[in-house]
Amino acid sequence: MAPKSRAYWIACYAILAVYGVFTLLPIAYLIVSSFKTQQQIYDGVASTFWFTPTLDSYRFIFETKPILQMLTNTAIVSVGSTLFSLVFGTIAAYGLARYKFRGRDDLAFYILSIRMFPPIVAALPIFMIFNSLDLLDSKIGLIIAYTSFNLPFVVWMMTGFIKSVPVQLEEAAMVDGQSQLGAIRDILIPVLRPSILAVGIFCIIFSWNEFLFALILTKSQAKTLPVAIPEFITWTEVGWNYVAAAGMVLVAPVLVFSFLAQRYMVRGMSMGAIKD
Amino acid sequence: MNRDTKQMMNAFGKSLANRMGFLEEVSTSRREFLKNSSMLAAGFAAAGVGGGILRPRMAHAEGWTLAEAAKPYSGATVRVSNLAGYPHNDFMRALIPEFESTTGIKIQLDSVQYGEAVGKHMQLLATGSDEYDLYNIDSIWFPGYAPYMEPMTDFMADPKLMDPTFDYADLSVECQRTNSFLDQVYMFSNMNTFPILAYRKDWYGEAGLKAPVTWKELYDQAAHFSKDGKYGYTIHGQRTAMMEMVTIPFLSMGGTVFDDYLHPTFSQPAENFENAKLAMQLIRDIYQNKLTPPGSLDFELGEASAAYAQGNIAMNLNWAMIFAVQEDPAQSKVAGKNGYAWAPTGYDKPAPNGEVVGGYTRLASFGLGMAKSSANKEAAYLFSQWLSSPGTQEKLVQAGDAGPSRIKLLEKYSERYGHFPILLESTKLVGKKLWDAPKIANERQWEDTVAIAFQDCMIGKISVEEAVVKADKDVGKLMRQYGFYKGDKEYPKSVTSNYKGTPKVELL
Amino acid sequence: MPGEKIYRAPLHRRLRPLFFLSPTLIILLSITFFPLLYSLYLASHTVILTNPMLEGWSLQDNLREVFLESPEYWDSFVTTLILVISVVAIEFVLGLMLAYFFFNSFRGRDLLFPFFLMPMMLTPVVVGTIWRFLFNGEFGLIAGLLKALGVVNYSILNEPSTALIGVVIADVWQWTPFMLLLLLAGMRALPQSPFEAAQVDGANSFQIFRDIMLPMMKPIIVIALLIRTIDAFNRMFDIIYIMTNGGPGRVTETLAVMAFRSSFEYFFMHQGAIIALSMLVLITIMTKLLSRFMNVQKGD
Repeated sequence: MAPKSRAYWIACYAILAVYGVFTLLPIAYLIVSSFKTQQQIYDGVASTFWFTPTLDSYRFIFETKPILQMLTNTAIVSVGSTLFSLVFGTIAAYGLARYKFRGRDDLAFYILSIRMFPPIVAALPIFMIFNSLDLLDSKIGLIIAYTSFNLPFVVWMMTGFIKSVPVQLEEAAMVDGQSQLGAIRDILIPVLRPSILAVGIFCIIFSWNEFLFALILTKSQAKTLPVAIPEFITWTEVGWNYVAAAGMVLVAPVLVFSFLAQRYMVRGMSMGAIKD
Repeated sequence: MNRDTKQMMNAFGKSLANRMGFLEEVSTSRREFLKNSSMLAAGFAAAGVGGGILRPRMAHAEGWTLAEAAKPYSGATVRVSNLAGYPHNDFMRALIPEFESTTGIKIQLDSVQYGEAVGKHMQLLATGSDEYDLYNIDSIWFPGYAPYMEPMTDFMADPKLMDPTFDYADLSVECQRTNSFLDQVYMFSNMNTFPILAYRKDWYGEAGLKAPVTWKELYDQAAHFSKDGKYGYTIHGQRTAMMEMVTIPFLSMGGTVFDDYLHPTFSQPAENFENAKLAMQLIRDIYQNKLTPPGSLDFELGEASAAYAQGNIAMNLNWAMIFAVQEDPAQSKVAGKNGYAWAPTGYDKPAPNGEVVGGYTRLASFGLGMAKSSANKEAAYLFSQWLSSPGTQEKLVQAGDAGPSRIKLLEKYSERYGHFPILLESTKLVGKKLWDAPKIANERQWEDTVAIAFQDCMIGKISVEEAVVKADKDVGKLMRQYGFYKGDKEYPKSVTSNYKGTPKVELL
Repeated sequence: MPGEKIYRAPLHRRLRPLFFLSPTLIILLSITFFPLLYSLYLASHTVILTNPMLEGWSLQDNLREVFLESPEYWDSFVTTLILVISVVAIEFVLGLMLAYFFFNSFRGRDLLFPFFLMPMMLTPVVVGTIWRFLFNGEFGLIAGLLKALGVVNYSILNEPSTALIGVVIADVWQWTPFMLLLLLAGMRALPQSPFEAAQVDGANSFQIFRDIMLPMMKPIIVIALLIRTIDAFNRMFDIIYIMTNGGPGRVTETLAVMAFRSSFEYFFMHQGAIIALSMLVLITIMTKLLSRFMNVQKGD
């Protein structure tokens, strides 16, 4: 890349600094609030970051709600739906990327349009189907529902990635006597691994944070944590410290996870790099 | 979980009502409905209890005990969808093990947030789910639930189930009314609430002021206290609370919200229009002149109270059960510093002898309604009855409940909270002194419609006069869509009112 | 196109793609077919959960009520368009700028980067609450900062002129990282040779960026814009619901909020279905236009 001028670096650092504060301040606010009492929340701006920390909020939320169970549910449902979507989505993406057939573009658009379907419309009918299939308040039901919006995402992203892998690689393997599935398994998947990982991380984030379906399709057994959070905002009081504490429990695993995984995310998303 | 799959599929072709077995074979297109004007339809949707107070037949078996009564149902699980976040419901949680050990009936409580409760409940009920046996319902929403609910009247007549010490008459008249529907008792109220004005006794003492008796006085006092980062009043202006914010002064000045035929009447006749404009102007001035905290247009009732509990607001007109929070030293800086008074009456002169023309606003109560789809009705009934029984209610008050629904408890514990004497008085309000609010299934919707118009006025988008007219126009349109007016023919009072008319829905 | 091969083969070969696609299609069809059908049923009948007596075909009435008789719908329509367009545009510009900074190496880049991605990982419900509290006029941090600047007790979410801006800020805060990530990945994926050639030709950084980098990144830009547009349309519901509940007045009530309200608060299922279906139509048009516009520009 061309060497950058002094002005560029000034602008770069200035903007990064401002944007960095903008990005981190709310998260810092979330973190400190989770260690406050209700009183301290309302104490005003001066003491936002200056107070005696307490674990009361955490104690309260773990005592009043089955937080661990809900966290486990969230994890099971996210991972389950992600695996499901990745397997079927990648296979479908292969079909779309490697074959040209009539109606392919329409089919691709149909798959994308599933994601356009406002969840609000889908929620009630899905509720009714699940009710009749006895899938309400079950993790399986939630996994299926989440798959409905993760799958189109996977198909769309993976189609692009697969297209960027030269088809000659597989053909070479097939000439050497591999079956098509074998070639996919042994040649394509290893090459695509970073992309699959990156798309998977997105799927996990989307499902981890999903609210509307979880709200409508669960009650107690399969309830996920995002649904429980607004319950601390009630008619009689806004337990911001409880919301913050529950929010911390919910986001901490994802934050740690994404910290560890972030370099795969960029690398996976820039898969196109391997073409020529 | 046994669900009727066929019942589900019927949702397609048949009306939801038919599926619920609520009506045998009534099938009308809307067009026909509007044309033929069958009153029945909207009747069920809208019906008030009608008539005077209901006197259900109650069994009276000497020597009845809860343990004995519950024997056949021991081992059953009653699932309750409870409203989250009321101090009341937290106290109740602590008492449940006692019920479980006495009866052998297991109680499973799920909490749902107030704002989402009606939506979630209706989905479950309308799709025939048997997820819950009991639903915690705010009485003002009850008409929407009614088609899916099992009345308790038959259980009350059963000597094996009815607790002879229950003392149904001790529940306030208004609680009895709001929890009954079409000649049937549907719920026992276990919490009862009324808007009461909390004010800072210490500030008022220093300033040599007394609690306001007119709205103008309230405004002047609020202006007096609003300085140096303090505020005089706290508005709760979020959509669910806005309508009441304006109609409380409006009603007390003699206003009426609906006429006998459910037409909104903010803007007519002329005197109503004048009063509505006065009330709207008052609340708008409080907001625009910053006599209330800046975020208050977005406050829920609870947020208003939380703000008040921080100690820099002079007055908080709010619902009684919320005061438990502001009187709790752990959550509030103003515990013990509050005086309580009736909301003002009249714009610049108080209503004579408290004879408010349009009525104070309504009493609200909360109870547990039993789903038609419940498989454990008797056990559910026993739990509901136990929760509202004098003994349990007393334990709740001792734990700190600020909205008991039993009159004798309010008398016995009148010292427990500063607002109890007023709450006790309010339970005796009936008829003209209480707002004749319609009991209709689209309660939430018309309230929101009014709130939207009023909020537009608060933020200065439209004038006071426009807001009042808009409220009328939009509510009128809504009522029409809902099927209340049919052509030029009008609607009988009996289905619009809780207090007047005949007890049954009339078929015209 | 590279990586594609046209098979003119016997039937069993031509059915191959179906073999790959069928599991996905079966899953998606089974999840979406019934909801779509049911929405159409709702949209054309009167279905009010709290008034089970009203029923029957009423498509014309429903359409008239929503599109002609309620100015609210068009208010929300405009709000939604403003919101989606401004949010996506701001996120794109910011994301592109940040991606460019992170593309060029600087000290501490790898350390800083994960922090910039954090908002994207947070639950919208939590994000909505965070911002609601930050904006709170009484004790919020931002009101405090405004106070220091001399604006006393200003509550951004409560003022009709700024409420929408508050929502935009929250959404931009959360989703700019998504743009950043996708665009940065796009930049990293670019081959080096054109840049080197341009540099040899003496083009400056900006020219390289504008004339070489951007055009080459078109595919990833299209995907990023499409995904964000769709999500801003459909899934911005949680944040608004928590932050403003559509208020003050109806200033921030988008079509998604309106559809939710109609269906799940008022139980006018038919109106909710019509609003939601209109959203589906709208977004289909928008995405078609967007992708066509991009493709035309690409010049093939």
